[in-house]
Amino acid sequence: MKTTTLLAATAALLAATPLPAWADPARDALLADYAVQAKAADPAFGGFSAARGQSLYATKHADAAPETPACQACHGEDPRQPGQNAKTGKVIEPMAVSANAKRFTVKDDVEKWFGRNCKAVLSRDCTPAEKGDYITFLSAR
Amino acid sequence: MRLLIWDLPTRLFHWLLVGCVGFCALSGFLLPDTWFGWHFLCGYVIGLLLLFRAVWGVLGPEHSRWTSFPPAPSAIIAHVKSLLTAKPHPSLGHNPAGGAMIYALLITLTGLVVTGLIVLGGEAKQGPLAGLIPFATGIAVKELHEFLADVILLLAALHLGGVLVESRLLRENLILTMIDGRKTTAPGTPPPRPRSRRALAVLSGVAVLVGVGGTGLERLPVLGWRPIGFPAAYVKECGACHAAYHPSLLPAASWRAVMGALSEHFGEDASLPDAATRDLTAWLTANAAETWDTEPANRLRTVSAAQPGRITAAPWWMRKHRHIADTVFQQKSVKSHANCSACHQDAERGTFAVQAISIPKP
Repeated sequence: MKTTTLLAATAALLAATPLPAWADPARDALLADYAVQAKAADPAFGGFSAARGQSLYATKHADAAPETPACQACHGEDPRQPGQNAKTGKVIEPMAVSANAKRFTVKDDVEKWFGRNCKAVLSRDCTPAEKGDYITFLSAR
Repeated sequence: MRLLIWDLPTRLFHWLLVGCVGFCALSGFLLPDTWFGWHFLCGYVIGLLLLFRAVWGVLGPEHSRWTSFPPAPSAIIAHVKSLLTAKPHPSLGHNPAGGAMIYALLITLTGLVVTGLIVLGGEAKQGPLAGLIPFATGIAVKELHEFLADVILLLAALHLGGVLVESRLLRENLILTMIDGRKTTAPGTPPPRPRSRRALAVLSGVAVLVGVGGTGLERLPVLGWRPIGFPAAYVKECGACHAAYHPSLLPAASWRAVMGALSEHFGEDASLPDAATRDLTAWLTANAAETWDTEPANRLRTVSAAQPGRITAAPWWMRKHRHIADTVFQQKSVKSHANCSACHQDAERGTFAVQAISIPKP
């Protein structure tokens, strides 16, 4: 019951916000889902933060693999530009939703990449709050 | 009096041949693989020049004809003897020893062109014989091609030596003769018979035959190469992090090993749902190196013992890239050994033709 209420509240909040052109219902649903998980993990959770997402994106981790100390090692300092796989040189499409509207719209893909890359960069899984912050940051860019 | 001995077509033939054989030798013996497209092109030109010369040997002007310099051992021996006594008899066309050298050069060059076409077809899967010659035949014949290449260098050196010796002894600049076509002759020497009136028609006929035959052969499907489309899942899952490698670049056992350990994939977790792993493994093994006859597929069947799943650790890969500087790989547009298409424009086709190599400058 509580979940439904929260979902409805999030949906209402999202609906009340003026939507940019690249808004996508699937991404909104994904964020709502992470919000539910974040709240479940931490009752004090008070919503996602683009600023925290930006910090997560840029922070370097000394204990990560040498080629991939941070998200931006592959995805680039400017997420609106294409990135490049730090090991293989393969070009990666931009992470910022404004430059690549397909980002964060397929749940399985999003979970796959968080699953792999959080381990590579942070040496652990990301929390739902971190995932939501990250998507919120990149949706605003 | 200086009579025209070598007509313009014969002289053009000679100097074009010198240029093409010279470049083929240079590229074959010394230049890196990226020049080999020009080696092939020059080889084609040599082939056409030899066809021209065959026609000219029958229908050309008098001194270009085979009948004017028959390969007669007794005459050759007599001529060499006269050279040793430093009193050679002047000849209007080829002297007997020179004529023998022409046969040796032309036969060797014909052998080089024929073996070259077989190697080109079998090893590089290019040219008119690409649809007919297996890789194994191509590389076996390559030994012969390389032997004939040594022979042609020796013959060319002897030919040039003979020209210089005769020029000196006869006080006639034979190199100049091959430029302006004229030789000093005794007064009253009748001018040589001109080429046959049918010569140009026959040449045109030969050209048409070569064009039709060559085009027909080129249309044959390439032996041991087929166009394949990559499954969408392959491009999406594997191609997200690195090039979607052509499946011919690893043998089936290596693909199985790679796909069986995706959670530890070259230091990364690349795990996929079981169904996707199974489907991709099936596609990769069905199209693995064993099922192709291209050079990379043949060579890359031999994998690194320590890293059987790493294409760039295979002995052949290492050998082919040993002269490429680290700075080439380190530049941003390349970044790693794994980025085939940074230099190989045809990487996705699995052909890796020398003509499709374009190495960015660091």
